Amino acid sequence: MRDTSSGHRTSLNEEQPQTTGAQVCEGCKAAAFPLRGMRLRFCVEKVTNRIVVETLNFPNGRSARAVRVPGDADATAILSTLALGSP
Amino acid sequence: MSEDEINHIRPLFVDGLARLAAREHIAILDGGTNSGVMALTGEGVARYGLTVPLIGVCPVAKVSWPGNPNPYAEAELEPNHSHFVLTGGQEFGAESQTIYAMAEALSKQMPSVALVVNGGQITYDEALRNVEQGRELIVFKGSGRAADAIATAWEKSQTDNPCVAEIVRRGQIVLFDVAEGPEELATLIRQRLWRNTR
Repeated sequence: MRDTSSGHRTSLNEEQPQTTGAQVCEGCKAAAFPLRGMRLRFCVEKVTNRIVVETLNFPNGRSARAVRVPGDADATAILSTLALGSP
Repeated sequence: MSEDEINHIRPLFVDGLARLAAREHIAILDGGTNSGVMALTGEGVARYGLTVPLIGVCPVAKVSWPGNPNPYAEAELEPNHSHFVLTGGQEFGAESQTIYAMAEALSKQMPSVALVVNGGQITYDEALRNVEQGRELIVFKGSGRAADAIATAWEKSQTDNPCVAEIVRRGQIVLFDVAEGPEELATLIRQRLWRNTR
């Protein structure tokens, strides 16, 4: 368990059944993507890049996919997490 | 930028950049806040649609958005961006490392060009990062401050600012006069992006 940039603690419970896809942080309710086979409880922390994923909704009806990253996050991981492709 | 300055360049970003991006599937990476040219680009996206990502990168400590009030925010997120990367750091400029790491990664896959419009010290630093990554600068002459300082130094081959001197000495620079129109801007961006690939 390590602190994340969101202030929540990461808790990946390997005893939970296999899960994939987006899950929701029990703390901030942001969508996040835990590692395959891991069940997310709180904001995600990837192994080498602490990246929290969420959807921002605006009054004009648009929504944006957003990631919170530490300053030293790897660009390829950011682009991949945003689903913009992995160079 | 003042309201007058914004209004002066509005057609360039709304009817020039945003329309071109929608037509030619050009992704845009910017600061993501609802101010200056970023707000204008968002306005253009709202008008002409979005066919590729419009990605804003900014320090989370300095911005707010609906549902996330922030007493320390100096700007709101622009609501027409498709993606945001919210970085650490307590001041604007802290996001530069992330922006240019992303720009470098993306430009390995596709041609890229940087637009320099108005701006202050952060703009000098970021212009130099573009130069270091081998990315051509389109400098908006007449947009004010940093962009005009670079344009003047480029034209006169002299400056007292060491950072500007480095940008001019090492950079690939093309000037765009803001008195020109959105079609001229679109033509220039198209030419600079595709000149080595078509």
